[in-house]
Amino acid sequence: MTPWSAGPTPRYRPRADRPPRVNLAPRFRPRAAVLVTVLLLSAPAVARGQADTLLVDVILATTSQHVVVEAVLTTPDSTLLLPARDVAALLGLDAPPTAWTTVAELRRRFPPIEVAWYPRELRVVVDDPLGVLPATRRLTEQRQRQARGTSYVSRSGPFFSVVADDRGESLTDVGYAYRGRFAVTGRHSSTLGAAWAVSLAPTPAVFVSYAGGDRSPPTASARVAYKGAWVFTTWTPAAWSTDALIQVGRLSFFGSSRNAFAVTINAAPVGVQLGRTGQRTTARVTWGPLMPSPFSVPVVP
Amino acid sequence: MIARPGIFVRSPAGLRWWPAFLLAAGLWATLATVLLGQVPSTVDLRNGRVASTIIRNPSPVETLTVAVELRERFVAGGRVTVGRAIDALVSPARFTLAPGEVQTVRLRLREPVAPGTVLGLVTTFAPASVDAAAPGSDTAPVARLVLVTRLITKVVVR
Repeated sequence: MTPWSAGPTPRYRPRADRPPRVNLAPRFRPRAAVLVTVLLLSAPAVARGQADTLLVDVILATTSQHVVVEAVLTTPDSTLLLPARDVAALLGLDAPPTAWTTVAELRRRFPPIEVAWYPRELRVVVDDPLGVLPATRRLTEQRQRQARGTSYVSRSGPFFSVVADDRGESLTDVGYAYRGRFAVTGRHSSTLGAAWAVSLAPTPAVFVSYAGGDRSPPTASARVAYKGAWVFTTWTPAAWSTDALIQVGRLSFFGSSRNAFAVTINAAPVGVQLGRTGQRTTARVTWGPLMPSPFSVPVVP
Repeated sequence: MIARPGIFVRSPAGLRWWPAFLLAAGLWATLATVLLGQVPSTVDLRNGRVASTIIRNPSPVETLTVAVELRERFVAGGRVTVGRAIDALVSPARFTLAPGEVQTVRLRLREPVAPGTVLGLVTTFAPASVDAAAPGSDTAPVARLVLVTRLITKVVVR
């Protein structure tokens, strides 16, 4: 057991107490000997990476995902070496051939992304505003699938709006929303009469709604978006339809009960789409930042 | 005896010590301000998980070198003692803090520790100026007093 006061103390030694330098032999070089000794003694520790090993939190800001990795801060250039496998898994990249990567290497591979290293906070923040990283792209596509076929009000509380024009016509909306999970709305139009709707989203993957009104038929819809699959069904007394989408990496398959199909390959900046509607087959090739939507079939108007 | 008018005559005798009392209170408040907030008093740590804490240099003028280590902690008779160093990754274990700077420190155990164990996070603050030669020390002996502060806070293993 060691008293609490024991432990490392400041290395202070007045110069006056140090022994004077004496040349013991013509070929003996004290500085070189000390340097070699220090290097030999410190070699095992450097090899183990203990002295400079840091627990760094790598954060992908666009997805809010993060991972704490054992990084190495090299001396004296203070280059931060990050374990490439962990970083690649976070960013959605393939397994890297090297064991380590650096902040500069990430910036070089993906120029649009911003990588910031905060040594005082032991954080590396990766921002991908253009969505060039696979992890960001996957999250964006997932959000697109979840938003498709839904109406979402993120805030809770009642809402109300009135629209009027100089003809004397008016439109009134009133309703209540709860955290995006439940909403009920009522609408009265001086031209179309009254209408109402209720929607329920118990989880982000499921959305169900039902609507009716004085001059509109009752309509029900349901949407399920889970991982790479998306299914949307609508029903009215006269007809029903179902759209479905399956995304596997850059490849998307879209099908509709309205006799429409599409295959989309989005490999930015190139996008290829092949679709069929009724008796017509259409192909589409795009280049640039705007990729074709996998939810639509290409048409030539 | 002629009593001269004045506060020392009219006031109770105990009030004569108010300057010393105020000085002691001020020193205590200053010391508490300096020590409190440097290191959180308790850190929760789980086996195999990473715990984070922060260490601050409260000094407005002095740069400090900080050494952090994780040790066994014992309390006997109101006295805190520390034992052997625990095999853990302390990140970073040594660093320098400019006045007012804050450093995040992360801990990860490398050996199994029974849940409920209270370890000691030993944080040693020393002025960074001790590494520099004292002025005039190359020509004459120079005596220098160096104040080293060591805080032992709790790390509770969950």
